[in-house]
Amino acid sequence: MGIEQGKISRRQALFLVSNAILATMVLYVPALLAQETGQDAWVTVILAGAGGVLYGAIVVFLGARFPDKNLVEYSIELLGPWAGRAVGMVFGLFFLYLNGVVIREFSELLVSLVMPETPLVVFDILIVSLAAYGVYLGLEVFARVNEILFPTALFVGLGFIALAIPEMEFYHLKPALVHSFPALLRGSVLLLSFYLEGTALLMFYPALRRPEEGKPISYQVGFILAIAILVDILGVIAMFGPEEAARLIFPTFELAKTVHLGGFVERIESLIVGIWITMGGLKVMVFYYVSVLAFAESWGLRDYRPLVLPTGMILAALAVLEFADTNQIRTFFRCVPAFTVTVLGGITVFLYLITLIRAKRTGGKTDKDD
Amino acid sequence: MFWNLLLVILLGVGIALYEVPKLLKRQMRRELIAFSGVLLLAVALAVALILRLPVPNPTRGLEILFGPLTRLLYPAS
Repeated sequence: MGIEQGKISRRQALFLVSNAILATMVLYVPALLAQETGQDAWVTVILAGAGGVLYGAIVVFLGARFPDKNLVEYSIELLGPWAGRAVGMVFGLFFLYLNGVVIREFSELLVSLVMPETPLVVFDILIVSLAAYGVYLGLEVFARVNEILFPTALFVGLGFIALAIPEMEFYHLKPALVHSFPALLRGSVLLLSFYLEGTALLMFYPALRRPEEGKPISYQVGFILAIAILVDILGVIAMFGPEEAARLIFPTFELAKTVHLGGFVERIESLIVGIWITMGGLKVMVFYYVSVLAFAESWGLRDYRPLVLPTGMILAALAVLEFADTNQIRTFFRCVPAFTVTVLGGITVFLYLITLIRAKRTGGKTDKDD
Repeated sequence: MFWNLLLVILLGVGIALYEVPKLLKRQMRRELIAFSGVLLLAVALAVALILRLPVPNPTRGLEILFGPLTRLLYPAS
């Protein structure tokens, strides 16, 4: 029925969503959270993790409720052709814009850390071409690539932090729970806005081989992300202390720089950059795929592939247009929670409520509910 | 600037040459219209950026749109 004919397993979907959220979370979140809540950042991770699992439950409820339809298809069914298509367009445009931000972040990372003399546009175009190739080949292809690369990346990343433990000073975490509860809550909203990107799942939920068994994805994603970001934030704060961590642009990278092992394992932070580019490329692919599919569904097309290359050009241009410099990206991150929570959270919760009202009205046909 | 412009236009023509015959062969009119629209938009955007024309920046718009809510959440900044 739908455009996507490929099938993916539950584990592939789980890894795709986790990777799509984690890739940028690791880049900016430690610094932002250290700025907001200092050494108590780990509390916000737990709060946001709980919120993320709750939100994930709504997402998989919608997915399991319409096992053979993606978000745009059932918003058309629920809201009628015009309003449904409008929701689909907003969803697609949101991911298009956010993808521009992600591409910009990763090009910026490469320029500022590895190749300062190369123009930003070069990396921008390279990442987009790579992602366009992956999206052109289809969901199944990049889901499988991700199935291999994401666990590897996670393992290497955690290994790095473990190697840096000898340099850490754990007294930096010491005055625990000194920040007020509202401050912690604000920090966790910031983190939660990254979890909301997992709504992307609803565009490829019907491609699951057994959609009815997709429900555990929600808390599994929450668990993987909470562990990964918790270890990362604790490591960063124990290494630099909250004030220094808040000043750094890429704290996780600085953490990797401190790894010295027996005068032999030195300067291996390039490996971390390589892993980030892997994860970032796959994240860009997922978002790219989601936005192109959402456009194709909203316009009633039979295939999304004709849109891939032109959209790639728009993405490359957007990534240049969106920000003037790295500082502006950080300022924009102030705005991100309000933006993401309103658009993505709004769409999902709205569809969820409508589904509930429909179920109550028709009665009887609620056998798929919990 | 001239070379960049030429490259963008060549890229646009190349994408069209790659996709249009396939679409014509499969008789996908709707897809052809959507494809042309998006491609024209993309080329126009890229050309405007190269010529440094004043393109509206979506980030500015979002900052204005979501600024009030952001200030409510993070009053300090």
